[in-house]
Amino acid sequence: MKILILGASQVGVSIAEVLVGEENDVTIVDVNSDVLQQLQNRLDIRTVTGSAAHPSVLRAAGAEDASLILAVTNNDQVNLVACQIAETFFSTPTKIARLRSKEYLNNPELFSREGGFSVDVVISPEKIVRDHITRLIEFPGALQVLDFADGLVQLVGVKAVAGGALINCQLEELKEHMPNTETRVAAIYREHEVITPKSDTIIKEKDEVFFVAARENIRAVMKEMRGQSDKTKRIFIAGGGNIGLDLARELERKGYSVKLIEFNPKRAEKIAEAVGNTIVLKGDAADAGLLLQENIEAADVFCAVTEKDEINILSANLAKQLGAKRVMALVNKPAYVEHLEHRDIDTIISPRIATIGSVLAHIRRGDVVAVHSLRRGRAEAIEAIAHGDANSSKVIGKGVREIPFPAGTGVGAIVRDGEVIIPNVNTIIEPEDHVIIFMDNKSCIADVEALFQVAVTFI
Amino acid sequence: MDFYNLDIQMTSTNTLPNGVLLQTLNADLIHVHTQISSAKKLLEEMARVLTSALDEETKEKDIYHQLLEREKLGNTGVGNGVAIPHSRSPHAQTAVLAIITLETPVDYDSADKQGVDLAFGLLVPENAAQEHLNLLADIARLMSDPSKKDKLVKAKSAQQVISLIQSWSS
Repeated sequence: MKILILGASQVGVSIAEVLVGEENDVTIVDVNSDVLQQLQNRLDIRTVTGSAAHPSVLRAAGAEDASLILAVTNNDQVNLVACQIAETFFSTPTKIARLRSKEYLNNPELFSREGGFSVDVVISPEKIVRDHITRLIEFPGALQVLDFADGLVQLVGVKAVAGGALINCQLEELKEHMPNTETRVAAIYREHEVITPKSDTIIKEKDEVFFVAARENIRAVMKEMRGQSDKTKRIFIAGGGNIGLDLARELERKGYSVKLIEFNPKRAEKIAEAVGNTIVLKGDAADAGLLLQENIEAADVFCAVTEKDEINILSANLAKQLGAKRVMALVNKPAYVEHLEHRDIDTIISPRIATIGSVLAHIRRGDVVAVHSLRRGRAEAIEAIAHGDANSSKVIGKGVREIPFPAGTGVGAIVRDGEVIIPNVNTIIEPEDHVIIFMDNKSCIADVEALFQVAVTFI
Repeated sequence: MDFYNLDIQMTSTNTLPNGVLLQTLNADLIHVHTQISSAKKLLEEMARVLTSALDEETKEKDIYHQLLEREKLGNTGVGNGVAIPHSRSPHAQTAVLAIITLETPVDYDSADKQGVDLAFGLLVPENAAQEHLNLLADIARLMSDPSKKDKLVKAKSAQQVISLIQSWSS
């Protein structure tokens, strides 16, 4: 597919890396030619220097032939105008814009089909990150919580701990343990190696278990994996930028008790006016004295979301040492993310990994409505809709076992007319089913996509 | 050729190609040796040609989006350099068939990775019947023969394209 990425921003570049790896024809446009030069040395891409908001620049970048335009410059207005130009001059099939400002995000009529900006998909990394963190906080002990079918189904990664009822049990015993809770283990990671779950697979302590269940059942399953169910009440947020402020407001709305630390006194005062019950503290999140004074040892979650990776890592580590139960750090730089996994910080939140799925959903073939990138992009979970009938679809009318899924992939759940079904091998796929599939290796994607594409005879 | 698709085609018709294909051919909608630079451009061009056969109010853009929507559900590149973009359309009273051959193949993301240089565009009414399904299957089956496909790609005029297809059906 020919893809035009506007803006060599962090999101733009990391998406380019994934897309180039999947044999797409990628062109990046940016005003900074030095940045583009560096990228070109590293990636198999074309680059064009200039403003993404100018028709001549887009034309030079091959917009005439592009099937998808991804406007992810750091400027909302440029992204909006670029999408509009793409529609007016080039009839680009899919136009995705990254937007930050609430002035745009909170006014969806700006993007209405009739007379609105021609943006097919709006992505807001900050909102994605906020929701991501909120879900993690709502499920204490979860390493990852990903939504499918508008949140009806969730895929949760959890570390099995001694005392969990399912530890040292075979997967086939799951049903006996939880007769009223339907769940499916999608993958188990043991010392970084993936284990494809079979009925006789035994869950061991320290395993990272990914399971799928209806949202209302997630807590019950987690309790089985982790023994005592953890409760979250007190939350520290380090950093009062857009993410920190939004997060504080969301969490206080949900009834958590929140303390927010902001370094810049003026910003701190502004935030204090914008929040409700949240206590805003002026100071340095990496100051042990401040953290101790504010009873960090009683914190259930410490979440560092300042603009600086280093401060987030440092303060999260410190908070952990001082007794915070669970610490999270927002980390942008890919190299840091790579190195920090499995260290003291419980959860590293990478905006680019969290965001990339919302773009990939529009690149995957077949009617794929949700994509989540896992294991730093090595694994992937998707939600695909089965269309057609037994003749034109390779999956409809077949039992899950009969469908030639590639090794390492499995159907976690099916959503049919809003109802969550955890399938067994005989469950038959019906038209319009939303099928949630876990792939432990991205190399299977093309095969899975092929299964969900209708035959050419489908009209 | 996708074996799976082939399977369906084998069961869907008995004669090849049936009369519907011949009846649907329209020289005004056959463009040979066009200069097209991408799959996206090909769909735009196909929409333009198909729209020319519809009533005046029909917007090219609507047809383009209908083709795109269908393409999203499953790539219509059948392999061997052939694509059959198609859609149901409220604008089509009867089946409308356009044929475009390309001077240079374009990447169509087909399963066999081969570039497309021959495209059949088909619009069928909303209440498409079995005969429309057969029409699609006929085209796919006809084009699963590489020598026939090559002849169509080399055809120098719309009339020659029609003559070739006629010769294969007698």
